[in-house]
Amino acid sequence: MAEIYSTAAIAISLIAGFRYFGPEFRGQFQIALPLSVVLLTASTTSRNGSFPKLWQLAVFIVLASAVPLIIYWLDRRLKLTHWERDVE
Amino acid sequence: MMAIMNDEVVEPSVPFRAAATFSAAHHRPRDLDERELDEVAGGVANLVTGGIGAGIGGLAAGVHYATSTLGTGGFRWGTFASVSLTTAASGFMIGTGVGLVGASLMGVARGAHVLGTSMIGAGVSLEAASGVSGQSGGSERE
Repeated sequence: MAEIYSTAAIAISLIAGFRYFGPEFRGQFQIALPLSVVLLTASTTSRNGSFPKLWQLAVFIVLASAVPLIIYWLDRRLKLTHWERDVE
Repeated sequence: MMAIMNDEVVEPSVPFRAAATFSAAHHRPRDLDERELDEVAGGVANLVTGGIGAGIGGLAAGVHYATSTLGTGGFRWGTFASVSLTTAASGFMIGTGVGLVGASLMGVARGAHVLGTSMIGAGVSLEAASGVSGQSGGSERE
């Protein structure tokens, strides 16, 4: 189960970074961040058999924030989802 | 191989075919039209997007594995590399497959769902196989 939780968490973070659901990033980010942190925590709990420590939770929050932000920046820079075509 | 001479592109002759000459304007770079942009969006662009997502996703999976195991002392560099690479490979296939199926459903790339579904299946199989080998101790050395 740990692998499934981890994969789901990373998939959600990545999907949130791309603007497939619209040019608005903040809404996607606000939904994806808590979901990813919960799934990463569940993955670690499943793997270790104990609830993660505070520093591990902090790393999970940073990880769940950094992935969509990096993808979003790359999406804007490289126009991966082509939203700029419809701005005008 | 071709040469531009007097504003004309000259392609050298090949056996059984004479040298061909075209207007150089025909070969100059230009902006893609809407249809060509859609073709790129339904094809090559998904590979780029999938590659970027796979790289970052694989790195994130490795960081998560390291964070989970450093606290308990169960960290192994081999497993770290295995988790990162496997997640990147399966993530690339699943991500690109989803992109191709989406492009096919939106009508951008006709028939792309066949390749997309195959890539999703291959990625899920790879992820499942890596999970099984990890549970059986195949990648762990005590």
